[in-house]
Amino acid sequence: MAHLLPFVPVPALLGFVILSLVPVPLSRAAVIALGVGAAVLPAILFFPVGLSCIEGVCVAGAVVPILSIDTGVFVAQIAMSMDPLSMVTGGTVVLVGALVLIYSGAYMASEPLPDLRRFFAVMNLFLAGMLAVVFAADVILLFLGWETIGLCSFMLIAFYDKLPKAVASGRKALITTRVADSFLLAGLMMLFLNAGTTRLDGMLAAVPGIDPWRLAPIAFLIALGALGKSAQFPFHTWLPSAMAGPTPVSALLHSATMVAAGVILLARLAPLFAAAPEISAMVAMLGILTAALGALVALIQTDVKKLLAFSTMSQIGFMVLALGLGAPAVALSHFAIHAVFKSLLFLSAGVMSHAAGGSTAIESLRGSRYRQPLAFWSFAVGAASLAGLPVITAGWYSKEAVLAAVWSSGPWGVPLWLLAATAAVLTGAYAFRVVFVAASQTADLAAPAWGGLAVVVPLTVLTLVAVIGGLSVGALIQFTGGATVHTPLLPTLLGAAAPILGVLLARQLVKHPQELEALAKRMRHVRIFRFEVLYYYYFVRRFRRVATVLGNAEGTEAVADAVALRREGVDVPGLVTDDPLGRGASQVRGIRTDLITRATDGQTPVVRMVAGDPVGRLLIVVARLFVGFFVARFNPDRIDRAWMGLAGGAGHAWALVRRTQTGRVRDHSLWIALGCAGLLLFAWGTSWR
Amino acid sequence: MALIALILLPAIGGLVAFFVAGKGERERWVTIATFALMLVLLIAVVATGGDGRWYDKVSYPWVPSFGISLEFAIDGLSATMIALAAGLGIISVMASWSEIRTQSGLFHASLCWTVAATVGVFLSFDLLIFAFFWEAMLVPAFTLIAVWGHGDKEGAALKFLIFNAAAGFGLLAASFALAAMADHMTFSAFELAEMKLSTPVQVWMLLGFSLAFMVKLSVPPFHAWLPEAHTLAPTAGSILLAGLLLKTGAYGLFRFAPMLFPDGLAAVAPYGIALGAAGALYGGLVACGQNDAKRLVAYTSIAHMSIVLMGIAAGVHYALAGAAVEMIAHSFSASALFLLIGALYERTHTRDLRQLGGLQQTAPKFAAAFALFCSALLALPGTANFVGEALVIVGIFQVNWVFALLALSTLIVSVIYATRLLKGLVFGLPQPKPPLADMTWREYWPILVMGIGTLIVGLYPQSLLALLEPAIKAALIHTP
Amino acid sequence: MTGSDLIGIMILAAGLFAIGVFGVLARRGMLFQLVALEVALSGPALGFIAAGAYHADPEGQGMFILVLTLAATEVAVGLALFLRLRRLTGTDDSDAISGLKG
Repeated sequence: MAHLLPFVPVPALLGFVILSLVPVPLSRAAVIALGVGAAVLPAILFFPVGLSCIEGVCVAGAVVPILSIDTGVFVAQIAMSMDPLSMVTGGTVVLVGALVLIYSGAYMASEPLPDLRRFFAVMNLFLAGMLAVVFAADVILLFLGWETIGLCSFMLIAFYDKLPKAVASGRKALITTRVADSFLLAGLMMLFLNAGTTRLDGMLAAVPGIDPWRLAPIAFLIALGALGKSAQFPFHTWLPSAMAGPTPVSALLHSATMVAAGVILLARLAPLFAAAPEISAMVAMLGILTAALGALVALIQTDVKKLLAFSTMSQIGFMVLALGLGAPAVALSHFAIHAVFKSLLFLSAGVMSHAAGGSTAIESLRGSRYRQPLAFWSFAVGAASLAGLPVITAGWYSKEAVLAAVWSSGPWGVPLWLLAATAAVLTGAYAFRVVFVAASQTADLAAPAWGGLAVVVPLTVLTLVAVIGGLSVGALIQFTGGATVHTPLLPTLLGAAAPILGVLLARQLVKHPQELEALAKRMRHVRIFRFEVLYYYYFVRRFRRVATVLGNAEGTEAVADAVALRREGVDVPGLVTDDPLGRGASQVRGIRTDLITRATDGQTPVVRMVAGDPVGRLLIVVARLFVGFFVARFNPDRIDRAWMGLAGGAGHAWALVRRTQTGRVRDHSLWIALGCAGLLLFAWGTSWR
Repeated sequence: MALIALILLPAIGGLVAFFVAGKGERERWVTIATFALMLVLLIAVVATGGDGRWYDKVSYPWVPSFGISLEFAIDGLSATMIALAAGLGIISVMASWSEIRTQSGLFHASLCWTVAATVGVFLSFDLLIFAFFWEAMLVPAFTLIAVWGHGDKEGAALKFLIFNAAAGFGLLAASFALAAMADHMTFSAFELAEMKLSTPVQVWMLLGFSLAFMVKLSVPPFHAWLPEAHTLAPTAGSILLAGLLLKTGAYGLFRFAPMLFPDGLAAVAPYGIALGAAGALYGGLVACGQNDAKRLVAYTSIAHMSIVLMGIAAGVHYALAGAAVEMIAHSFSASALFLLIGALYERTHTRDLRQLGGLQQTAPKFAAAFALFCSALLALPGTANFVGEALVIVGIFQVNWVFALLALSTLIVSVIYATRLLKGLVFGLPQPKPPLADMTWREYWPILVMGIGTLIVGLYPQSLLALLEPAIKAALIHTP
Repeated sequence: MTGSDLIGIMILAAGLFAIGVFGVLARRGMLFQLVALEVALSGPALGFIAAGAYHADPEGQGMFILVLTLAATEVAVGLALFLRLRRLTGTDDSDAISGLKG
């Protein structure tokens, strides 16, 4: 069944191609059928592959080659890997992807047709890209998928494109992840040049031979790239803003799959990080930092999608922590379980907020238990799994495995464990805060009918997996090559007590909301929580200033025209509103003149035209000065003066000579005679011997 | 003989188009037929197979006493460039079908003559003939801008002409110096390449050559002519400028710098890489601050051409392959974007990003095309631009990782300007008020062809690299 | 014919020419100017005859015949001009037609 593997992402890709590139009008039902079908087919195709895998076909390092690219000096092989890691992640992605797409068939059904088509097209492309990432056995396919999901993420966050905020959030996500991606690309390129192959297994095999002084920067760059995609600490700000997208997008991209791509990459390159312990330590520190901070910030959120976003950051922090401590199998099992319960949470939150009139504020979910019982209870199950309530939820098993890995990770294990356990307490608190609010009674019980099979099926399936999936965690860890760690009883018990403590805390916070507000107020003054603002001040604004100065749009033709029109009292709409680079109307009315503008003021338009762009303008100015220096020597042109003087003299001479022309026959005859006489004299003189 | 025919064909086609112009669309069809014939002829030449290095190579003595000969040769690189020239020629005719309504005969003649001169540049191996074509292509291009441009078109055209003609002087002077230094006076590049010059002499000669090439390539700080020329030219002019004329600079550098001055190039390569890296970053940053869509694309051209310069200067196999692919990729993406913006300008009469928006609501085909080529602009893997840029950067990693990291930062900037373009055109509230006519088939199919080309090269770069391999091997200056 | 004879005849011819030119310059009536012109022409004609006789060359006589025809044509043109003058201005004053005045 291995040969079926390369075809798993194909239906999704075809779905994208048909929906986006084929210029044929499709009906609403056809679009939904195509979009959903293209997402369900991969799951069906993957089923036999996964089945054969359980039978023992896939071992670590098994690959399915697809094609090879000859770049002249080097043959790059594109291949898909068929190992436990890709099977676990791939299985999770196709399952969650299919269910979320089924759900969005109902959720997005009321969108206008072109938007619907765009949504499904990009979702399908995303799914194909994600599958490329999880199945990739070489960095080319990996990076292809990696960037594709980044771009799709941008398109989907900016889906409600009439809201400027959505587009801005999309750009923020894309640019932030692109910064990280360029680190990743640098790391992968350096690794490639050192290992001499693009195949991941070949690269990992070459790791022991690489000089540690080179390996550490490589691992550092790759880790940064992975952390950026996973929204970990220094790069985390894009994830909460990404919630501007539709709920299914948040459910699939920004909780279950895309943000977990970093985890998958780190797990795949685990031997590389094992060889660079200092980088692993850094990864682990960033992971635990994000896990704890994310949980703390999630606690004070008032918007359920924002809360879930921070919760995603926090949970992925747990995975990254496990990876940094050298337990990739544990991280992967947590990834699979987290993907299930987090998408469940998002989907059910989407149903509940839909019933609450589209508002995603936590307060507006009040009474959901009576309006949407199915959604409420599945949300509750998801929250329980997120919190990791002992024994009955899947989340407990996987999180317990992470905690156990932390405990047994050497001298720093216990303090790290304490921090992680605190984060687990907070997780329980923020998860159940929403549950308690949603469970409470309100006066308004009018429930708009919304649901149907497309909602019930995904919610039910995900709920079931979120409950019974826990039983598979041990098998999952062993399957992906990890050993189950036996921890002492004490940390196990404490770990089990943490979520329960969290639930109690949540109860307390819901009963006394003023305490939460006080906490929120206090946290807002802590510098670390205002990271977004710092980013804005230190990076975004500076970049914009540089871009504005360099690319200064003032002085370009359009603006010059607008200014001219404005002077004449004609209103020029649009030109001065919404200047994204921060130059408002005032500058257009009174253009600020810089040195170069002043230097070239009153010059030919050719000089003035290179607005902004100081280097280009400098060149023109220098050229002008250079030319001017020489031209001044010849201005006025003296030879020209002489010629013009000659012409003037000729004019005067003419005025004199014309007097001799009387027009009288006699006078003319006289001149003729004198001429003849002169000629005769001349002839006589020359013939004189 | 076929090579001379390749140059003469568009030149004659231009004359014919000029004289048949009148009622109807005769001159347009004549022009298209000319370029199609060129493509057929080119395929016939390439199909002969050649000797592994050259498909065809001819030399007719012209002025033997001065060593001037009609020396033409074609290899994979030249063939690709000529195919590009003919293809972009057809696309330019399509793009200007409804835009150009005055003096249509002269317009199409200028198109043909621009292509003829650039084809001459791509084929000539006699430096004097090369310089002739080099200067000759400025004249029809000048006409294109000065007659059918927008705004201060005369100023822009003059700037274009003065900059390039002045820089061409460096090429001519260095050519004469080289010819005089040979044992017997010759302008043949093949014979001059045999000459053993000392490194300082090579550096000086190279500087003369690269003055012309860099201005044409518009690497900062030599780029000042480009933004206006691109912005104010008619759509077809922008397409030819970005897709073809810039490439002659890249081609000249790629072909002649390593061939004639291998030691000189190796000596100045670090400065070349540094200039390219700084230029790429600079062009990208300036592009981020633009509000005029066409200007924005023009500045991205500067950034991409700087990347090409980096690749050539790095001189390792990956980087050279990347530079060659980037040349083609940029031709596709920039031409397509110019075409799209031109088509949009015809409908809305504005290119201001703040006055446009919401194309995905009003014109989905436009939106899809913009999305595709903006993806190419930000070097999304799977597009030809990514193959080019990634290969260049890998190559630079082999030479110097600091410059490589600097070059990578252009990837970040590229995502900013590409999304700015998307945000301004595709997303947002529909502006100006609908209805907005979507693309016609005449606009759609060139876009489709270029899009498919971008994706084919992006997903299966072997298709192009195999063709370019001999030229890349010849341009290597390092063998690490 | 001796050299002294020739010189005498040449002086006579020059005198005839000078008289003719004087007549052209002094008279304003166009008819008289034409007559004076005829006189002036006869001077060179005499010179040609004398020179032909002195050199024993018939070309001198040939030139005389040329001068005669020249005089005839000149009189024809001149009389035509005279008629035009009378029609245009009503006088025979040649100063009345000074259209070439600068």
